[in-house]
Amino acid sequence: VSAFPAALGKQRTPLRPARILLHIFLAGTALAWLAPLLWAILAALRPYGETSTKGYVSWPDKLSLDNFTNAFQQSDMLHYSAPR
Amino acid sequence: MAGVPTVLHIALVWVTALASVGLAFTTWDGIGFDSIKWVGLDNFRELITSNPQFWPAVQHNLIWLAALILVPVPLGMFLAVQLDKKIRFSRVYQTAFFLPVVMSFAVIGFVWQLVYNPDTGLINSLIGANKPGHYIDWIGDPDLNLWAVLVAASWRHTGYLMILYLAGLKGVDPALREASALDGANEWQTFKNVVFPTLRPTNTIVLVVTIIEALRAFDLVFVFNKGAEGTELLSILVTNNIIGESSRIGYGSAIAVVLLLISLAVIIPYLVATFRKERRS
Repeated sequence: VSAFPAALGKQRTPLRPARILLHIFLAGTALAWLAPLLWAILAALRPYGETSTKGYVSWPDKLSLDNFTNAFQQSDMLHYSAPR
Repeated sequence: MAGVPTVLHIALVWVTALASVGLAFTTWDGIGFDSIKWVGLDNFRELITSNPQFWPAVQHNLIWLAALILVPVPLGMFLAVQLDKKIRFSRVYQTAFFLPVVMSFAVIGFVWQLVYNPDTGLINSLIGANKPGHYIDWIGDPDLNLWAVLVAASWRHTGYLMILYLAGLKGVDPALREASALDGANEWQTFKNVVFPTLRPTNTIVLVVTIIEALRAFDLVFVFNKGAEGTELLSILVTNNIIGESSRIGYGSAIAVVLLLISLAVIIPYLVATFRKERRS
């Protein structure tokens, strides 16, 4: 008879350790899922000079949008994206 | 007005598809309609007997299909079931898993090139495999590159299937779960006997989507390594023959017909079985 409230109670507030394990698993998987994108963003934000001296896997000293402004200007992006 | 979509559909889908099937029995360089020459089954004969890339491409397409069914389907379903547990930060996790799906395959190919690059990539830098002596060429080694690119494909496809399954799980009647909890079923029993059977429509969609995804695979590989040795796919052979410098439109169409036949052979028995089962129940 006492199994009924126990079953219902279990549904409302689930076992804490199981929830924590689930969060650890999901957070780890989510980070693994984002890793390739974060890696690409890091490579985009670092100046190449720093990468070539310190190597690709290293802590960045300086992050900037220089690569983006250079790409935008050197490719003459306005020429293609704006109607003339 | 209803005629306009019909005309557009027939002109853009059926006429072009049937024209491609027709061209498979001809040779044509694509310049003027006079140069179309009927050659019967010659294109298929040449394809099967003397194209060194053809059988590897068929094999890779089938491996692609098997890999997408074996990894992203169970993984996507598993993640969806976990995220459906009214858990905190569920939206954050969903966003992380779904993010690859909103990017184009060209971007995905480029991102994974950064990860796999043998000299500067993330993996080789971390495990120290970018020095002479022990050097792992994820992109160029024909034994490795198909699996490397399949990781990227599964990475994207898992997120897509996770969302499809999550939508399916939202449609499961909560009363069913409650009933099975009252009957004393544990989590796994509830999933196996109550939730999974009600997911059958979702499973149909997921399998059809996965089959389509495996057989139309093209852009990811083309960006990753241009379909070099080890990653040939039928779609890449079609493109190389039709818009490559050879411009062999008849021959390329013959490869496209083979791809069409494989798609039909996979999807028709499955759909027939599904609809028959649905009509019976």
